[in-house]
Amino acid sequence: MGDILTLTQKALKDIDESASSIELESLRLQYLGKKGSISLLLQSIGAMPLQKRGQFGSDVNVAKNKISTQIQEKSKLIKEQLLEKKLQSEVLDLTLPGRKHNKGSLHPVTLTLNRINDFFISLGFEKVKGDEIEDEYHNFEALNIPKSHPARAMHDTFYFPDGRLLRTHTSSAQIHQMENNEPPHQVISPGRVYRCDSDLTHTPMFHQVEGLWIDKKITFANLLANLELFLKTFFEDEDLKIRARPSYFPFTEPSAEIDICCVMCEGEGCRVCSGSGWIEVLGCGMVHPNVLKMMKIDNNKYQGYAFGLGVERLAMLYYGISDLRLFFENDLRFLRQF
Amino acid sequence: MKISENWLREWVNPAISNEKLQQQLTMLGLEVESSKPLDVLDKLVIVAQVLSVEPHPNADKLNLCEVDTGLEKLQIICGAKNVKKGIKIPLAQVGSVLGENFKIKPAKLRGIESNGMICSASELGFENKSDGIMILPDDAPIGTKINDYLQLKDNIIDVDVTPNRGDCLSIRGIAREISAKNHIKFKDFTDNNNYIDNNDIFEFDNMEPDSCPVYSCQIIKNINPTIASPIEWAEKLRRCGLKSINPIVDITNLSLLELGQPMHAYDLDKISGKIEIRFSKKDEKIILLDKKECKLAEKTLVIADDNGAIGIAGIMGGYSTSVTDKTKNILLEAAFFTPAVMASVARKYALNTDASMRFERGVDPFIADSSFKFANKCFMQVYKNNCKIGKINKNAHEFKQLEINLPHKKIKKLLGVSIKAKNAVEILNNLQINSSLKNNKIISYAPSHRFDIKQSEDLIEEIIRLYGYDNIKRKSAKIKPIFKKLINKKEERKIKNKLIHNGFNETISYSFIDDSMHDLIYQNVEKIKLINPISSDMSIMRYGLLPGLLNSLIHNIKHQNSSVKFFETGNIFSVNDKIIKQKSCLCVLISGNITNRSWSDKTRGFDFYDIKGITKMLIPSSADSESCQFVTSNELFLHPKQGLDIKLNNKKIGFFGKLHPKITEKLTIERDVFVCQLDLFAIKKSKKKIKQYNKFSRYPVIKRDFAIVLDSNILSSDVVRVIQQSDHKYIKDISVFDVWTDNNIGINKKSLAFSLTMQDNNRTLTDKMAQDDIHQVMQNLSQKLNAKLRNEKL
Repeated sequence: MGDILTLTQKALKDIDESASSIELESLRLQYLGKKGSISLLLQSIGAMPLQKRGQFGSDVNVAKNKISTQIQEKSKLIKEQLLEKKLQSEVLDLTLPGRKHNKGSLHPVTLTLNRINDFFISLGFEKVKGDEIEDEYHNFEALNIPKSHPARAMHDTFYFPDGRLLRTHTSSAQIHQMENNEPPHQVISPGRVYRCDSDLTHTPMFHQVEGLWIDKKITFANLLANLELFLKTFFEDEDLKIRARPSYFPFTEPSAEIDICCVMCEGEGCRVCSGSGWIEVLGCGMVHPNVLKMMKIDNNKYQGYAFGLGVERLAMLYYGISDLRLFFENDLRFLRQF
Repeated sequence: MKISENWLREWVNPAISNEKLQQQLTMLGLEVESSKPLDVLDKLVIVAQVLSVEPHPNADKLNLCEVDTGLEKLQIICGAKNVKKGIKIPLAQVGSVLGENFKIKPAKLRGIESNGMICSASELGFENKSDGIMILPDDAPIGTKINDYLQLKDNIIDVDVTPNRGDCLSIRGIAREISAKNHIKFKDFTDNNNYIDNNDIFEFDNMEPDSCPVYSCQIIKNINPTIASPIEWAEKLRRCGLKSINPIVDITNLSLLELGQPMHAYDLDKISGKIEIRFSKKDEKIILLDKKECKLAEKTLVIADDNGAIGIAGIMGGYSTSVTDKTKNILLEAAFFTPAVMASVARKYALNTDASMRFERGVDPFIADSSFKFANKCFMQVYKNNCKIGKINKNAHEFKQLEINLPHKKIKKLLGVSIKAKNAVEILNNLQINSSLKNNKIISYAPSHRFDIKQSEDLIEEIIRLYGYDNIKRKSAKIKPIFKKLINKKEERKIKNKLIHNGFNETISYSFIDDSMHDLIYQNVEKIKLINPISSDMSIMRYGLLPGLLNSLIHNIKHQNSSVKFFETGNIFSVNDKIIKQKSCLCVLISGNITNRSWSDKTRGFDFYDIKGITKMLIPSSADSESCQFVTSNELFLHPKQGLDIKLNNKKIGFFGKLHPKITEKLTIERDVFVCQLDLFAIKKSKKKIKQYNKFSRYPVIKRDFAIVLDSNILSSDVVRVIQQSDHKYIKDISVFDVWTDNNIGINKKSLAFSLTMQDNNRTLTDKMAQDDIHQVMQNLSQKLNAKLRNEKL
């Protein structure tokens, strides 16, 4: 009995003093292994008188459990210490930069076009495509702009030797739509347009979105309601101040230009709005009866509106871009911001 | 058009502020571009009189003047030649500030004191350059502030007049609008005096009455050329952006600005014989007022005398008959040339004048008579009874007034706004559009000053314009959902999303490119050339998207933006048998390193297999290896050994590969460039079917790697094909992961390593089953390609 107690105490002490898992393992073998002290004691049971065997066996088992538990606990402790040591050694310069993932980007003009298209598609408009190289008829005559019209002077047109031209507005898409389909029409046509003009505020190419809605009861009040809602949603401001004022386009009557309260100065007057507090964002009106007649649409039965809006202008206002030329330079420092 | 608010208020003076006036103009469709107060002078600048002029004792060019300010007499030195005893002048008294900060102080000039400055018009900011001091009229009251005397408290309003509103290119026209808006009765110019005092009449022949329905002229004689224009005329002209020249020219300009009737004055003594209004003759020339010779195109309407053209109708007069500072007798002209004949003439000659702008848009044909009254009144004001005013010779054709019927209910139908018929009629009449109501129909007559009122919609616009766009109650239209529109699949967006999710940046370039860039990249491709490009580097319609992307690459290299992964979509243009094709295209360009330079990892440059992987990603998965093939490309701008064409159902839909080094070198791009271009329409079209879900096996896979040795000219695609074609059951994926050559494995041999992934859909694969497949594969490789496992003995 005394032997067991001594053995146990020694074992516990040894375990307690062990410093590594290897040492601990050899202690385990020394005490609990097949030829370990505890095993030897158990083996010696056979040589004992019967009446002592029970007590002896149970004492040895108690000792074995104690030692075994102690080894487990010590092993856990050593592992924890090891882990702690390892963790402490794994020092990084956390200020080194993370590995960079260049995210891709859509061009701000595309992002803006998508937003415009999505709005009008949700109102039931269908997106149609138009050609960029056009003839005079579709770009001018069919839109009630005959050769002699002073409004032609407002369009500085690029021409090709065969008399064709680069469309000066997406309004030509209206004509194709009406030529090739029966009313009602409810379409938008986004795309590139061209004017022979290049300075700080004009690039020879830019983007427009044309809209056309012709049906039996489409009114001027509908036009103003739809476009004002568009501008409010586009600028994500339900209280955006908007004004519609009379203007002139040969292919609409009555015509309007829509201004929004300058987003830069909130109407106080600044360089962006040339001091007026307002920024012109789109032109629109009721499709001119001459255009309907030319398209063989009965203008007593059908009527409707058309509008055209400048994509770069809206993008500039939305993102606060001050220089138009940035759009076509394709500088990565610009593109990556979107 | 720039107008003086004071001048406008001489015509109509509603009790509204300048701000309200601006707002009214803009909301009438006459957009105010700017409104600026006229510069006022320091209040110490006053009217004074020169009492005496003596030569400066110590200086040849200076004079010693005694000047009366009404309160005191000052000694002032003046260098101007035109200083004279008795004249009234603007005096900047000591203490006044001119311009930004030119302070007038007592000074000593060559030993003599000077207490103030006699000013020229330029010193007062009235003109850019002056010759001598400004001389004020004799009746200018001494001591009055110049501000008050010249009524400098004024605003210059710049109105943007749309091309349909020629009538608003005059004070009279704008006054008509403001009167209507404020419900003030419009007071037109009237004058019942008879200024004609003799029977002088000038004969002319109007050969083109269709183009010139009204022509009238009048002789005015005995003009004293030494008399200058009254200061108030000069001021009016200056405020509207014109310069005072002499009374004759100034009167024609006043008529143009105030009434909207451009007039012209010829020096009567320089006209030879009779004049006629006719079209130009072949090869006819004229020297214009600006002394430039102008070759006349055929069918240009001219005014001519016996010696030839003396003016291009409605645009500019000729030099030979121009009024000078010696002119004594003139022929004054007022005409109406139709907008049709005037259209684009000014543009053709690049002569956009104040007159041509008005004639192009339409001048009231009935205003010519009033303009003579107006001019005669002005002549009498300047020359008193000394000038002799002859009879007006007038040739005018009848005008039919257009009657327009507008059913009242049409207003509501078009606008969605209810406006009472009575109110609509009132609005029209206020605008001088003679209208009345009959059986719920508005009957109107288009007035002579309005060239844009032709049909009932035009009347509706007038009504709503005056009613106010602000007052329209906004009402949304009903939306009808339509199946066809709702299934819009946005294919292009999906393709773009693939790219941006892989770190690509979208670019947008001009559709026209540099001529030499076209030659460099698209040799032998017919050009679509603009007649009037902005510059030669924007003169050819792009045949592909490469030039634009290359320009963007060059820009970014120049600005030290290292690697680029760009894509662009847009139309490209080609011509075949004069038929121009415009098709939508996608182009990808990569150049530089695959990753950013980093402290931790090595990077590598993009190579052929990067662009190939991207191309693969862009081609729809529905296009299987049968329908979509990569074949050797003969595009000249690609590397001859690293370029492939993409064929879908045997039709070429694009290409990819390495840009030819000759091109990169020429563009001084010192790195490899890889590109891919795809026909967007073809991609979209091949995607008709709805993508279907493919069931995948949940049983474990077996992967085996092999290295085989085979002839080095055998392509990896051949190996893959042979593996696919062998009699296997479980191979799901084949991937080549290593290729190398070494003399140890044999001359002209290469080692290719690949991995097979095998799996069964219904059970766990056993080693034996996998081994059967591998056996088949190896046998096939050995038979077809003479390939051997690398660890086999050669």
